[in-house]
Amino acid sequence: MTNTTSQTPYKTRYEKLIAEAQSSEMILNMGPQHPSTHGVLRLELITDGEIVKEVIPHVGYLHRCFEKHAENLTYQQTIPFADRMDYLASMNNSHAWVMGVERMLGIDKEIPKRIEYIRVLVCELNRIGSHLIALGTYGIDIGAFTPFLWCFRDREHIMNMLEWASGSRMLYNYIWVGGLFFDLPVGFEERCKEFIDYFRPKMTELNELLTENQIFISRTANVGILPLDVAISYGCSGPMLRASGLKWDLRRVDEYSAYPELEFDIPVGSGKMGTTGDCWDRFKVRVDEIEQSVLMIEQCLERLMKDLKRTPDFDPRAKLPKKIIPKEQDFYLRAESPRGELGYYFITDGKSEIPKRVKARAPSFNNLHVISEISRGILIADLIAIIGSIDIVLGELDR
Amino acid sequence: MNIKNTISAFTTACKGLLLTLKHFFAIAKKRKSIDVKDDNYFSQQEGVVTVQYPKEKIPVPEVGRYQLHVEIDDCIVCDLCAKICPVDCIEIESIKGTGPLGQTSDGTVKRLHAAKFDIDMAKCLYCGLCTVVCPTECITMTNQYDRSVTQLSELTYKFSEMTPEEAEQKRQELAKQQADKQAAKEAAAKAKEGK
Repeated sequence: MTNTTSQTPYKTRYEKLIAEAQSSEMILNMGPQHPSTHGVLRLELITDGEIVKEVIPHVGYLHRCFEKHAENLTYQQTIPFADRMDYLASMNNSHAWVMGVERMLGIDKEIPKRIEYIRVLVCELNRIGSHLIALGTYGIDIGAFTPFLWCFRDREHIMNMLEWASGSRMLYNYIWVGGLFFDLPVGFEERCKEFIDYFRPKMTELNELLTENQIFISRTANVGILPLDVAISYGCSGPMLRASGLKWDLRRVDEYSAYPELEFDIPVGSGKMGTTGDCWDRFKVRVDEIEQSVLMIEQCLERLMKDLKRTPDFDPRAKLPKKIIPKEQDFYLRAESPRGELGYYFITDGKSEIPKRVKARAPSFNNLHVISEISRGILIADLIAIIGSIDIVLGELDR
Repeated sequence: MNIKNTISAFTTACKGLLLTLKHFFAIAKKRKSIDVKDDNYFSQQEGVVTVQYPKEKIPVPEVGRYQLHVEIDDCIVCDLCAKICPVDCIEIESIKGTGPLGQTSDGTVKRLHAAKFDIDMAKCLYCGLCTVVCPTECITMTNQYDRSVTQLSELTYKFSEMTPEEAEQKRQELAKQQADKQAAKEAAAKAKEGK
C-alpha cells in the first residue's frame, strides 16, 4: 500500500483512486498477459468481492511509434507501417492513408473506377475477416469454443484469397497512392463469388450456434449498456456507436471511394434481447455488418465482371505520382474501419516528400475509454463480456 | 419469464449441439489444403481442416512475398532498393569498375562492382517495395518461407559473390586507373603550359 499524506499531490486521478481504496476493497490486475484482453491490455480493477468498483485501463504495451515513423519516411514507405496498426484490417488502414494523401495531392478524382472498386472489394473482404475474429473471440470470452474455430476456418479462405491478390496474408501493402500494387489475378472474381456462396450458409450456422443461443443471450443481453449520449460524449464510433442506436457510418456520411454507388444498409442496435446498446446489440451489429459487406462485395463483383472488366493494357500503377509532395496544409481524413472512425491528420510543409507531423486517430483507443464508465458496479465475469464486445485491437490502440 | 428462458435455453442448446454433432461426423474425412487458384477450392466444405505442418503445407501462390532473392549477375548496383527500404535492411557497397563490366540479361550495361550486397531478413518487413523500384528486376520476393536459423546473424544473406580480396584488388585497380588518369591530365596540363 502506498503511504501518502494529504499534501502529496497525486500525479493522476487513477493514482488517487488506487491510493484511497478502502481496506475492504481489493486491487486486481487483469493483464497484460490475460487471454481475454485481446492482446496486451492491462486493466486495474478495484473490486469489492465480485463487484467491480472501478476499472482503470493502462495502455502502451504495444507502442511502436507509428507517428514517429511516419515523420521520417515518405508517404509510400509509410503504407506498410499503416498496415501494421490494425493488423486485422490492414486494407482499411492503408485505404484511409492512401485516400488522405490522394486528396492532399488533389488526384482523388482521377483514380480509375476499376481501381476504386477493387479497393472497396478488398476492404470489405478484410472487414468480414476482422469481424469474424471479433465474433469468434467474443464467443471464446463468453465460453463458447466452437464458433471461434469456425470463424477462423472461414477467415482462412479470405486470407488465402487476399494473399493470392496481394502476395501477403495479413499485412498486404496492396493499396498504393494513385493505384494498386497489382491488378486482381485472373479468376479472382469467380473465386470470390464461390466464397460468397460458401460463406452465406456458414453465417447461418454461426447465428444458430451463437447469436440465437439463449445461454449466450443471457450472458450478454442487458450487460454493459452504453447509452447513446455517453457513447457520443466519449467519442465512440463504429459498431460501438451504431449499437447504441445512431445511424452513423462514415461510408455513408462521407461517401468516399466507390461507396456512394453501392447499396447497403446501416445496421443499428435495436435492443431486441435486452436494452439498446448492450453487449448483445454490439455483437448483433457486427453480424449484420458482415451481411452488408457480403452484399457490397456482390455489387462490386458484378461491376468488376461486367462494365469494369479487366483489360490487358490496364495498369494499376499507371497513375502513381513520381514524387508525392503535397502543398502546405493541415489535412484530416477519416474513414470507416471495422472498429470505427479511423482518421489521419497530416501537417505538411509543401517542400519535402515527408510529412511534418502525422496523427492517427485510432477508433479502438476512443472506444476503450468508455469501459470505466460502463463497467461500474458490475460483476468481474461481465467485465470480460464488455471488453470482448468493444473489440479492441491493441496494435491500433497503442500505435 | 424464467420458464420461457429455460425452455428457450434448452431448445437453442439442442440446436447448437445437433449442429456440432453434424460436424463431428464429418471429421472422418480429411480436407486437403488446395491452392486457392484451383477451381475445386470451395468444393470440399466439410472435414478436418487442421494442416499437419511441416508434413503438409498450405500452398503459397507465386506472388507470395516471402524470402528475398537477388540475381546478382543482373544487378547494376544502383542502390535504389536500399534507398526505398523503410527499415534499411539492405546494405550495398559499390566499387566503380575500370570500364563497362558486361551486360545484364535485359541488356543494361553494368558499370559498378557489388562489393557488398547484404540483406538482413530479420529486419525485413516483407513490403515488396524494393522489387518494384529495381530497374533490372533482379531483386525479387520468392514464395519460399520457413528459413529458420539458430543464429540471428545467419539471417543476413550475402548475395555478393566477391571475396574481400577480390574487392580490395578491384579497389586498387580503380585507384591505379584514377591515378593514371590524373597523371595523364597533369601531363597534358604541363604540356599546355610548356607551349
